[in-house]
Amino acid sequence: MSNFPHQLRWFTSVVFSALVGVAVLLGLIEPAPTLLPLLLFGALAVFSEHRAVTLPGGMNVTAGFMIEMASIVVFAEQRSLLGPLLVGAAVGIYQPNFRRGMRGWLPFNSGIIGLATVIAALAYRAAPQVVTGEMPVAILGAVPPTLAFVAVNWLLVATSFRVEHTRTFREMIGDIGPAWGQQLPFALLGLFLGRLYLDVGPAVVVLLVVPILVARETFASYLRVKEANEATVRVLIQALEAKDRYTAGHAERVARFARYVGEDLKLMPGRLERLRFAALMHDIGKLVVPNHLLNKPGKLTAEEYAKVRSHERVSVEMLTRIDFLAPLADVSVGDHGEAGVEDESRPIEPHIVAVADAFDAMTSTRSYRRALSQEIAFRELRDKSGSQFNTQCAEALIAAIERRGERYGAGFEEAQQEWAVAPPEAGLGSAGLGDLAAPAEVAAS
Amino acid sequence: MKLARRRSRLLLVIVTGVLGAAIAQASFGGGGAGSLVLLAAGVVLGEILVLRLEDGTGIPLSYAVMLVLTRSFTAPVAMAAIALAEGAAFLATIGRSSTKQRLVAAATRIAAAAAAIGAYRGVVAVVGVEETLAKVLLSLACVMAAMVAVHELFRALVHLPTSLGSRGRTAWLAMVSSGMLMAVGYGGVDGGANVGIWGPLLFSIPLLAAWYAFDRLESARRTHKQTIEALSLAPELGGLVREGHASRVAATALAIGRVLAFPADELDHLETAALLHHLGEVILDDPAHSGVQNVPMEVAAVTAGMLREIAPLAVAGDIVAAEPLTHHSAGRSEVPAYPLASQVLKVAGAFDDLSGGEAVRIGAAIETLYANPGYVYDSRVLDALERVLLEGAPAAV
Repeated sequence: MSNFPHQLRWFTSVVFSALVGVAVLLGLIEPAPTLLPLLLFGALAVFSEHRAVTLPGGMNVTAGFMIEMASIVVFAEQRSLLGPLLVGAAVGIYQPNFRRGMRGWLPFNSGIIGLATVIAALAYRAAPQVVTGEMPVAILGAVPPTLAFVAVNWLLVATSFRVEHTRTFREMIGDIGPAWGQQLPFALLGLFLGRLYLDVGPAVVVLLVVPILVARETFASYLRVKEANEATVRVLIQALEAKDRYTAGHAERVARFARYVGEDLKLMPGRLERLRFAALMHDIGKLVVPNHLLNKPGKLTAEEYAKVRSHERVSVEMLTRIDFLAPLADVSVGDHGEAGVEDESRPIEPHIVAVADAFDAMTSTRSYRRALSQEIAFRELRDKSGSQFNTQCAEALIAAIERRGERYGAGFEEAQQEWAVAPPEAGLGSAGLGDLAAPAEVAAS
Repeated sequence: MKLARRRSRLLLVIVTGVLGAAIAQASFGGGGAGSLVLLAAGVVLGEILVLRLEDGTGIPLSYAVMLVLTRSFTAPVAMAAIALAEGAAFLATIGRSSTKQRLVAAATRIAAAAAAIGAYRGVVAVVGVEETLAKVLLSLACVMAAMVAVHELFRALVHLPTSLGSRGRTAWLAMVSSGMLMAVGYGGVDGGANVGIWGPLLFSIPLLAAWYAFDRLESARRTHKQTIEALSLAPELGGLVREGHASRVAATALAIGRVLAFPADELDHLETAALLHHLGEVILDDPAHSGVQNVPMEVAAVTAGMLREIAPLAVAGDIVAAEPLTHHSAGRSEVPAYPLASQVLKVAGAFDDLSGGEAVRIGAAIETLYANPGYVYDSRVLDALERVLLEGAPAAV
């Protein structure tokens, strides 16, 4: 989290004072909560916040609400609201927030979660006959407190954003659904944990926490390995682009265009991820093409052309070694200029990569010609649809770029480069390499 | 084709489930039957959902459900339900693994069930009928221990490594605690806390989360390994090194590392370093074009520079970087000592350069290595290589 913004000082003071006020009031009118569950659940609440997992999408997942829910159930038996309030407030204790400039987050989080938990406990008490009922019905007991918790939490957080002038209520309304969906499974587990605690004893808490912790740690190592692989691919692409200075940023852009098309064609997240890797690594075979050929200005001889072209075979050879890319690798070659681009029995991804690759090749300057304009590139994609490109993919890419209002090609290139030998103006060559050699030369070889 | 097979398998599971339900209803009647069928279905599902380990094997989630059956049903009922479920799982996993593997799995589980039931009766006979949580947990722990022991025994019988490595221990830990929680939830303690079938259903959530995490981790780890293997092919596909060089050097280096008793993570780094040690060749310019042979030192420096940018591969980068330097250090105190792994990489690389992966040239290759002055190759590493070759040249050829 970033430093605590000073605009939130007033807001935090009010929320935290309200929490303290409610706590004092509850302390006066209620029987005091017993110490063992208070310490146990309080410690677990602090612990679970420190073991949060950040998903690739940026969402933070913690088991905090499970602990709060269990404490709500346990303290309901003692008719205490102060217990859940204190357990909720403990969630705010987060070690990195003790640093300078961050300390404001401590009362901010404690206040919000503490108040939300005490309201959730009230909601639980409001429906007691359902909650203590038989098993299938008792599940419903988790619903009112979860709703109350998410609502209060959302209201306070949204207010803080409003105070800070970063986001409006309207912008945040979409967060409620996912938050509720994320908390409900934890709420159910918490409800059962609480009931087992009451019936059996504190030992069950350990039995539940262990597998959750195992899952959490394993998931964290999964994210680490995934990140290691991302880093490997990133460094590799850097090495590739260092060999061929005309292709700086090419792989990233092809991955971006492929994502546009994939999203348009409504591919599932797993396939989008695979598509991204396939797009990033589609040129990996260029590693074996000698540097001087990649950077040679003007036309190549037939022999040189064959050598440059060999990178496609090498790409396939390398990518088939990676199981999850293999289904895409073996079809990525041989599609150019052949019928079969509309064949629906084969995976669509190679066609997506082909279209994305060709579009970026046309709209960026290469050693053998300058960048074409976006209009010419679009026209070329449409002209060759059905023969060289899959029509659906080509149209999806054009639509996605037009919808976003983005501009590529001559005059809009990301990186302007200095050339030793200025690339020629002319040449179309939609596949990027298409006009490297005159057709007669290739035929002659 | 694949989808059709999966669908027919699913159908098979459903039919078996309905049949099982009918049999259960007819034989026992009453309220327990529905739960029994659900638990048996849980055993079948648990055979399909496996906590995947590094060596490609796994620990099935069915053990957790078997714990519930062992505690809350009479011995013949539990045994029959587990045997039936294992039979169904045997059919449901057709195509996922070989017949032998599925037979071993079924036999392991049935033996584990027998051991579990025996252990449970034994503990109850010693500590008396369980009425406190402590006694319940003790008996469940003994049952679980019996199942782990049988699982390990069967793995040893079919020459599989132990499942009690670091990841396996974590997997068992999740299994034991979830299984105990499910059993306590289902049967309650001394009449109280009985939430019935909802216990196993609900408390399987953390275990399913663990399964998902194990599954993702194993896929990601495999993809990462395969990415590195694919990269290792670049120099040979470009015709810059002999075919199969990288994989042979990696196999030899690993074998030497094992003889020298390297810890597991160092073996991983050594393998990565060996696979990628020539990667720099493809970044530098083609020697045929520039007219100068690429200097090994430069290749190593370029390769190491790339690897060091990738935090988890940085150690492998260090090994590659030090590889061409090692002979300067041996026997000279003023030069810093280079990691032994670099020396292993150097010997394995030189050995492959000399033998070219051909069995007939092994003898001459090792003689040539020994004939070098003592400071070129570390003698401990050379001795280890000789031992590797004497013990049947594993994967070195």
